[in-house]
Amino acid sequence: MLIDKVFKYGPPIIIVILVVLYFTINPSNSDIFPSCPFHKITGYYCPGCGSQRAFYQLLHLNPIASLKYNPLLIAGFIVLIYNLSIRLVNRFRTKKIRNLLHLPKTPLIIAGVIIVFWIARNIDYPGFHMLAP
Amino acid sequence: MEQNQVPPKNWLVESILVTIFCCLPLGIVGIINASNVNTRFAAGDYEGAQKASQEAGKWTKIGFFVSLIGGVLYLILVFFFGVGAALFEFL
Repeated sequence: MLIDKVFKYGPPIIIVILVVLYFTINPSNSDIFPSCPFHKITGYYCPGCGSQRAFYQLLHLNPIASLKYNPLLIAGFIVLIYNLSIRLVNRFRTKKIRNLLHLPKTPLIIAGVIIVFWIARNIDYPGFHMLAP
Repeated sequence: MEQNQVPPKNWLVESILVTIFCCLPLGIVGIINASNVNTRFAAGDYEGAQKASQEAGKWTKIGFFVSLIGGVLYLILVFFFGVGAALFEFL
């Protein structure tokens, strides 16, 4: 199917373009990156708000600034790297290491963390402001 | 359950990336579906797990393409009409 081919070869090409784009242009002082439609319409932050600025900071090796804009970005990359490493290691082993991402409860826990983070970063109370981008 | 049976792709990591980067509830739908894949596979329901895997993949792909198309449309508006920022001010 065409859509599967696009899904297979599209992402690597898109990722390279995006990395170059987010390395060269700071989303904080540029209009060319779309701002979050959810935030524009509702005024509330979504779990992904700040991830573009966080990605710019991460590409410039400022993990603290990246965490301040959106801690889920680095967390998401850690999950991605974990998954790729387990898959790579298991390719060379007969006795497979168990991938925690395949346990029944893992996706629910991750969804729970994202939803709690979503609510928490919108709470207008001093301690919670640090979660907003 | 046979020990050497490979679990079907659960799309969990992809859905997480869609949630964070594309800012869409569709990513969360993908994550919930990933949970169905894992639960059914753990219960030994391999066919059910495969069906859930297709469902999870479907939502993740929809989320990915919706935001991709949105992003491309936005860039076209910005570069060819210079209205991107103005459009969003309008909302």
